[in-house]
Amino acid sequence: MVARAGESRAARTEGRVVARFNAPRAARVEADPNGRPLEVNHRAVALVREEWRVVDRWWTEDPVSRGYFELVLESGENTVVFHDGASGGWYTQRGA
Amino acid sequence: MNEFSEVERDEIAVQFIRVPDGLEHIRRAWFELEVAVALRGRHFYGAFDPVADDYRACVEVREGDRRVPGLESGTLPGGRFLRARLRGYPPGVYERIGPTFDELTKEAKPDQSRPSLEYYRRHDEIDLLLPI
Repeated sequence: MVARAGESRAARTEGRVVARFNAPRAARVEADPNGRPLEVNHRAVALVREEWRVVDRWWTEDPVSRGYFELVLESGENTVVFHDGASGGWYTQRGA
Repeated sequence: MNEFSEVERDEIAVQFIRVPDGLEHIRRAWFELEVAVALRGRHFYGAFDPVADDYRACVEVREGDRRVPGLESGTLPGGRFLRARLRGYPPGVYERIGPTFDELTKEAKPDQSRPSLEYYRRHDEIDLLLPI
């Protein structure tokens, strides 16, 4: 029982770390008229590597509609940003 | 007369093409999906959103799959469903989908918070899933 409780605590701690690491953060994004990012937090975008759309939970009262972009910034850094359809805001999910 | 059974299903990760409701649009969605992804060994689903009045032609995403350009990503809900299994060849079997869903809704009160699903098991076998 003790070991199991310890494992559970470790799993919860790990979960929190992972959750914090992946948590979206609000970003300042300048986009072109087609909605593709040109700047992320005042850093210029060199390349849009991939873009995709997530439309989920559409059967609930809290639907998700996000446009994702995997970017290479001019600094060479890779980042992923998304535009949230519900809030209208931009967020980064890693880097930037 | 169809036989119904209750089943419990997990949530499924899918990629999909979304089109307005209507036979012509739905046919186009399936055609485009089958062009975009390899058919063999894949599980396909159909889902209708009565609020937006649109239909999703979906393919299950498996571990290691790459995102297919042009397809949207999401999930289909799990939970308890009342299932009817249709057997027969297209296009005739498609014409039984609507009437069989009507039969299912007479058999059980649907859970309005989740969509009904079509699960294309094989080219001649479709499970119709009413959320309950």
